[in-house]
Amino acid sequence: MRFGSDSDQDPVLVSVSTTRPRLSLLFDSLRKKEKGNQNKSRRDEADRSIAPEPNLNPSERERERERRKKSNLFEEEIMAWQQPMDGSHASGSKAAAAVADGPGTQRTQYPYVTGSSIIALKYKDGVIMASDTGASYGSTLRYKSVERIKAVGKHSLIGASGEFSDFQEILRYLDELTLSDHMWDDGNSLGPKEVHSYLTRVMYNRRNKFDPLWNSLVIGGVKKGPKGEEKYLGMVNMIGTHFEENHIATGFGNHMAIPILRTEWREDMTFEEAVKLVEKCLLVLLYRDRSSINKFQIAKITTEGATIYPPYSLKTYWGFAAFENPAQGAVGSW
Amino acid sequence: MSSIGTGYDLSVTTFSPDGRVFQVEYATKAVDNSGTVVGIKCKDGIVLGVEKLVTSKMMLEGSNRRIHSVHWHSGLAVAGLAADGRQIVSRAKSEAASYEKVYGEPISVKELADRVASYVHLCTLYWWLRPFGCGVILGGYDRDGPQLYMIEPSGVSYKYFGAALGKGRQAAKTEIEKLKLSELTCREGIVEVAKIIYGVHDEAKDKAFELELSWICDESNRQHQKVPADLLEQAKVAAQAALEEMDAD
Repeated sequence: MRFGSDSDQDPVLVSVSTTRPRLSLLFDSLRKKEKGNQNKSRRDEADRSIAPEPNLNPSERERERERRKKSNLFEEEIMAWQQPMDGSHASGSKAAAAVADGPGTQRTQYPYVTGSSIIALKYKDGVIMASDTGASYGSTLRYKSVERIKAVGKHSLIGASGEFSDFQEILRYLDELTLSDHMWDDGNSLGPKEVHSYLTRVMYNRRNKFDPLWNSLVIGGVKKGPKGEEKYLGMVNMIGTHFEENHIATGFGNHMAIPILRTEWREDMTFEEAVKLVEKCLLVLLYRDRSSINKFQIAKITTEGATIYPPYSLKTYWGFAAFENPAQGAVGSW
Repeated sequence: MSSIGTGYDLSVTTFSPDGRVFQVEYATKAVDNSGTVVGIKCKDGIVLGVEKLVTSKMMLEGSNRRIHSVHWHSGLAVAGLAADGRQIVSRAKSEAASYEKVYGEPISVKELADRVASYVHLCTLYWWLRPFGCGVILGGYDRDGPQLYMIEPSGVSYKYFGAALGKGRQAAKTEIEKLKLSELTCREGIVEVAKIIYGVHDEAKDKAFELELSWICDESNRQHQKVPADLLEQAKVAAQAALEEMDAD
């Protein structure tokens, strides 16, 4: 038996966990809840047994009851999963409880240190990507110079919003990937398309294990393809949603920067124009997103390879009337 | 062969009365019958070269490679049974990967050579295992600069300036000794290695062969990779020219 000598265990649940050990993740969380509400759920069970049950032999009946109980509890579980979709505004109170996976292991089910938006767009010669260099511990702006944009292999850049340690883990996966790519030494190399595809599988797989990597990832790159130099820009998030676009913004940028990009982006932008547009987005985010800081990093990827520029600041103007007295006009109960 | 019929040559776990392990010696013979493998340490890096004997005209060029990359910074050239070599290569890869995972930095060439040698040696200790029928030359570049090791089927590993395995090893070693390795660059080194491989190739016994060359130097970003196609072609041309010149004399 998996759970050893726990004497106050619900015998029904133990038997189920032994027959279906791979449901353990979900199941153990159910078990945990169960232990807390044992009286309540016993009552529930009694109530439910009033509903007409098909004609089953004793062991099948037990399983049927279990199934009903599970489907009911599953809804509660889903309620606890209502989370912000990106990590840029991690909120502890909304976070799901850590789910136990058998004795001894617990997984981080909510983000601790998070980075904010990534802005990325295609321009004439390649892809440009930008972010600030801050990372927040909850809502505290805790780290001021972390790099959230990195080069992957010869043809790609990756930028990450969300949990910073998860991003570091992803970078380790990518190191492994590029190493094995190098060791083939067959004249082929993974391009942004392949890296993106790989990451979509990793992210979706982890989400299905109920143990997501808490990030929104942006992958940009340029690589020679059958149609000549092909620019690529795509993203994938913590639930495995993924797509390609001409311009992408994650986190708060998804709300604040996308409208700007939609009106001002052009296919044939020069690098200078692209930098200007990206800076406009970053500045809007700096004013509106509390978890962004005035230290930015821009990176580009072209056929020449990746260039990640050193961090710099933008000029700000805080003299607007609305900034002088933010409470004015904001009618509220306090 | 004095060992045959004595009964002391059937297991790696049995010594002969005069203190030899015949199975290991037989494994060495498998290496000695193979195409020549050469490795040299130049002043700025490592060059590995293999005379890959082509057994069939229908074999695709570039297949059955005998030089493999192990991690970013090192490579392994195999003499002897190629399939046994792949086993060693895969072990070397996983040792290198696990080292980096644990210690956060790439494995040193010395440590890698030691670990691979231990693995090879392990197969000489149990009656249910057979020793590897291959020797390997391991080249790498780490914080201590370029280094070259050779590991034999017995599991011994030594560090070399230049090493050779296979049929033409004796002739190859003589040629390597003539080189001024401390002044030789890798660019010059690939030509020298090509000359040696072409020189020791026995046209009468083995018809076709393919030259495989790899290097680790500043020009390759201190990464182990195949010598670029144009340089390989130049080296081949130079080697053939040198051979014809010798024949003319």
